[in-house]
Amino acid sequence: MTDRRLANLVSDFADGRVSRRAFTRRAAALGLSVPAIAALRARPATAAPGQTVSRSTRLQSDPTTLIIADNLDGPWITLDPAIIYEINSQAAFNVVYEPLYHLPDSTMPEAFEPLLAEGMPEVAADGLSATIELRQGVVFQTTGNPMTSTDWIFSWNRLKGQAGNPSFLAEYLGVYEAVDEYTLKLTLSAPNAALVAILSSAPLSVTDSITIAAAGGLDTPDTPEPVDVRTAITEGSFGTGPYQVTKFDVTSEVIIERNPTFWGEPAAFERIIWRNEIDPNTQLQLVQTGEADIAYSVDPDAISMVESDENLQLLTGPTLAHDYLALNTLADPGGPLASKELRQAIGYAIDYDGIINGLSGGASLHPATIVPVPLLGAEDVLPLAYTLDITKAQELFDASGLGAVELAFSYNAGGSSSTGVSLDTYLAKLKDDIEKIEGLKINLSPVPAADRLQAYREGKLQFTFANWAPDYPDVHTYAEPFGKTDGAAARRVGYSNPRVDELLDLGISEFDPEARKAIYVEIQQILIEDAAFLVLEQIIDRKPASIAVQGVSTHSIYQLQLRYASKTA
Amino acid sequence: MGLSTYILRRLGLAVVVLLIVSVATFILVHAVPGDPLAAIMGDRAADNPEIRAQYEERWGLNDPLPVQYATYLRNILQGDFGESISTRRPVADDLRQFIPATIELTIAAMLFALGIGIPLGITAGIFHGRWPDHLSRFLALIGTSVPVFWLGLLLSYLVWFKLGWLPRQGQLDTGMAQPNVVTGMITVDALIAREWDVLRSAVRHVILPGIVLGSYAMGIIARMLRSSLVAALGDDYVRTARAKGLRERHVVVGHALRNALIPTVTVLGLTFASLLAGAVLTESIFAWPGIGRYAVRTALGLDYPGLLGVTLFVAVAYISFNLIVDILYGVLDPRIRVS
Repeated sequence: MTDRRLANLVSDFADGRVSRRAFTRRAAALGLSVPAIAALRARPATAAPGQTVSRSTRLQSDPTTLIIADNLDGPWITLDPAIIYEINSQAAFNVVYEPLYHLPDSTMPEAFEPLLAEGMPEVAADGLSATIELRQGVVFQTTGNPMTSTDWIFSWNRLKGQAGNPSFLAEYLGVYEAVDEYTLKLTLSAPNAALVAILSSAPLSVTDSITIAAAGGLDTPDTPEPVDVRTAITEGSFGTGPYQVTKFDVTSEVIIERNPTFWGEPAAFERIIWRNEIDPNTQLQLVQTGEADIAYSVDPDAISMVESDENLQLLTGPTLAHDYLALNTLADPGGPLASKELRQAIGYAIDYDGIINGLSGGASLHPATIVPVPLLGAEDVLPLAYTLDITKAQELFDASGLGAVELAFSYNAGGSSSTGVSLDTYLAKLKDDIEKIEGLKINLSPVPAADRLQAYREGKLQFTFANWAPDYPDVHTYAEPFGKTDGAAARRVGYSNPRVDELLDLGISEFDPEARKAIYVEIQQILIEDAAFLVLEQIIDRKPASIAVQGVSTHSIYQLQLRYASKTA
Repeated sequence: MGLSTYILRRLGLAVVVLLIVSVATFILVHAVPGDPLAAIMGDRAADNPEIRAQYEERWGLNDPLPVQYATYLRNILQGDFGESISTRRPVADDLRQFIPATIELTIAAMLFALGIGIPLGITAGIFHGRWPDHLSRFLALIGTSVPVFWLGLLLSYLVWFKLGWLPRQGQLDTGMAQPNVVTGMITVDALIAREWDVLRSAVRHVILPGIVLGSYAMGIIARMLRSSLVAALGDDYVRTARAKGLRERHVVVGHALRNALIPTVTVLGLTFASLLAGAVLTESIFAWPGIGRYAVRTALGLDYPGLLGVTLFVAVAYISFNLIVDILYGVLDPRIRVS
C-alpha cells in the first residue's frame, strides 16, 4: 500500500502536480529516509517510464555533445602521433590530427582521398620518387601557426627519433625533403604501391613543429624525449583536425572540442567526450540510461537486447583484425607440424561456422587466409577457404604418415578472443574439433600473456593462438609480415616460400591495380596451400548507439568515423 | 620515555621497514618470470634490436639488479619514482593522482562504516541477547559476508540503473570540470573552491562506492564493538557506576563505551589501511581512478616502477596507521603508557 502511495507521489512529483516542498513532507510521512528523498528530489520531470534522467542524460540529449563510453584506462595511452600505437584511441585521433591522405569509408579500401595534401602524389615513372603538394590555408589548433612543409619534416623526423612502436612507418618514406613551403618530395629506395595507404596512417600525421619544439619535443635521430615532455605533448593539442584536445585523463574522461580555426567545414559537435568504463555491459547500460550516445564495446550476449530496443541502433562493419592459429613449420619446435599435410588436415578439422555463430554470436567473418576482406584479392580466394571436412582432414592426416601425433598448444591464460570469448572456452572447442582426427591429440597449455608473446616472437612455440591488426589499410601489411621470409609473423613459425618472396617484391612495385591484384591473389593462394597460418575469424565491429546519433560508422582503422557525425536532439 | 621520543623512534624504525619492503619488493617483482616490455612493444619494434635496447635503457632494465636498485633508491630520494611502463607517465604523477582519489573513497567508506557500525555495535551491546542484538548482528554479518563485487553490482543495478537515484561511474558528472587541485580529493577541493555544483556531484558519486567499500568494515566494527561492550558492561567498574546511581546513558557512554572502543580503534586503524590498499574491486566496478586499479594494472603489466611505487605507498599507509593507533591508545586509556 505504502509502495503504491509512494509511486503515486513520485509520479505526481515527476509530472509537476506536487511541489518539491509538498513532496518532501509527504514522502517523509511515508517513511522515506532523508537521503532517499533528496535523491528522488533530484529526479527531473522529463524522466522516461522506468528510467531516471540524470545531469549526464541532459548532456546526452544535447545535440552539440557526443558521449562515448569506452575503456580508456589501458587501451588509451596517448594521442601523440609520434608515439600512438593503440587501437581504441584512433577514433579521437582521427579528428584531432591529420595525415596527408585518409580513407573516409573502410569498406572501400582503395578509395583514399587527399586530406592535407592538395591531390594524390605525383609518382615518377620509375616509382622511386613522389611529389606531394600540401593544402594551403591550414593552421594548427590553439596557436594558429600555418601548416607548412617544415612541420611535416619535423613531425616525421620526430616519429623516427622517438624509436617507438610506430617509428618504422617513417622508414617507408625513404628520404623526404621540403621542396618549398607547400611541397614535399619523397625519394624511395624501391617503388611502393602502398605509399598512399602508408601516408594515411595516424603516426604520419602533422604536428605543430614550433609549439612542440617549444615544449621540448625533439626531431633529432635516436633521441627519445624525456617522460615529462611526452606527458605534456600527450595532454596538449598540436594538430589541424576539426577537434582539439581539452582534457586527456584516461582514468576519467577525454574531451575534445570544436576547433574554431579548422580549415574545412566546422565540426558538428561542440565537444565529444569519451567516458572511461571498463565493462562492456555497463557501457551498454550507459547508452540505455541515456548517459552516453555510443558504447565502444558490446558483449555478444547483449546483441539481441540492442537489436530489440527501438531507442538503440547497432553500428556495425568489418574490421581488419583477425584471430588466427600459428603452426610452426620448422622441425624444431614444429615437430610433426613441419608436415604440410598435417597443417592442412587441421585446417579442414575446424568447425569455423560453429566458432563464428556459436561462440562469437555472428560477430565475425571467415576469410580464406591472413588477408582480411575487403582488402585486395581477399574475396577472390574465398572459395579456397578451409571449411569443415573431417573426411578430408583424416585423409590428409593419414597421407602425412606421421602416425600418432601430440601437439602442444599455447595460449594466453585468462585471455579472450577478439570477439570477447574466453580462450578457455574457445580452445576447448578447437581442441574438440581437431581431435576428431583420429591419431591427433592436442595438449592445451595456458601461459601468462607476456611470456607467450615473448616465446611466440622468438619462434619457440609449436602451435598457438594469436591475433593481428593492420598498420595501414593495404594488402601488403598482411602479405609481407606473414608471407615474406623473416617477416614479422612468418619468422615466428619459420615460414619461407621463395615464390611468395618473389611475388611480394613484384606486388609492392606494381602500380597497375589489376596486375597488382593478380599478384596478391597468387600470394594468398600459396599461403592457403602452405597453411602455416589458419585464420579462424575476421572480427565484425559492433557498437550500440542511441538512435539520435547520425553519420557515424565503424571504421577498420579509425574504429569510429566521427568526421561526419551529428546528433538529433 | 616521552611520547615525542617514542614517535621519533617509531619513525626511525619506519624508515628501516620501508627499506626492507623496497628491497623485498624489488627482488620479488624481478623474480617473476616474463618480460615487461613484451606487452608494450609492437611486433615491428620488438623485432628491432636497436629499439629494444632503447626501451631497456629507458627503464634501466639493461643494468644488473643491484645497480638498478641503487639507481632506484637514489632517484626516490630525489622524488623521482621512475616512469611507469604501463601508463608511460612518471610514477610520482600517477601516485599524486590516484592516492587522493583512494583516500577520498576510503574516508567515505569509513564514514559509512562508523556511521552505521558504531550505532549497530552499541545497540547490540546494550540489548545483548534481545531482538535488537539479533538484528544488529544479522546486519553486521551481511556486511562482512557479502562479497564486494556482488554488492557493488547489485547496488549499481538497483540504485543507478533501475532507480537512477545515484550515479555509478567516476568522481564527477560527465564533462564537469574539476576544481583546482589542492588536495587532489575532489570533494575537499570543491569545498575549498566553493564550487557547490561540483561538491554535490562529487558527494553523489562517492556514496555508492563508499557504501560498497565500507560494508565489510561496518560489519567488523559493529561486531567488535558489540563484543567489547558486552564484556565492559559486565565489569566491576560499570557495576560500581550503576550502584552510584549514574544514569544508564552516562554509564554506557562515559564508562563502558570508552573502554570498549580500544580494540575497535585497533581494528579501525588497520581497516583504514587495508581499505586504502584493497579497494581494487570497488574501484573497478565504479570506474574510480584510485590506487587499487593502478596496482592491478602495474602488477599485470610487470610494471616494476609502478608496482614499487604502489608497494611503498601501502607500506607507508600501514606504518602510519599503526603509529596513529598506538598514539590513540594513550589518549583513550591513560593507563596505557609508552614504555
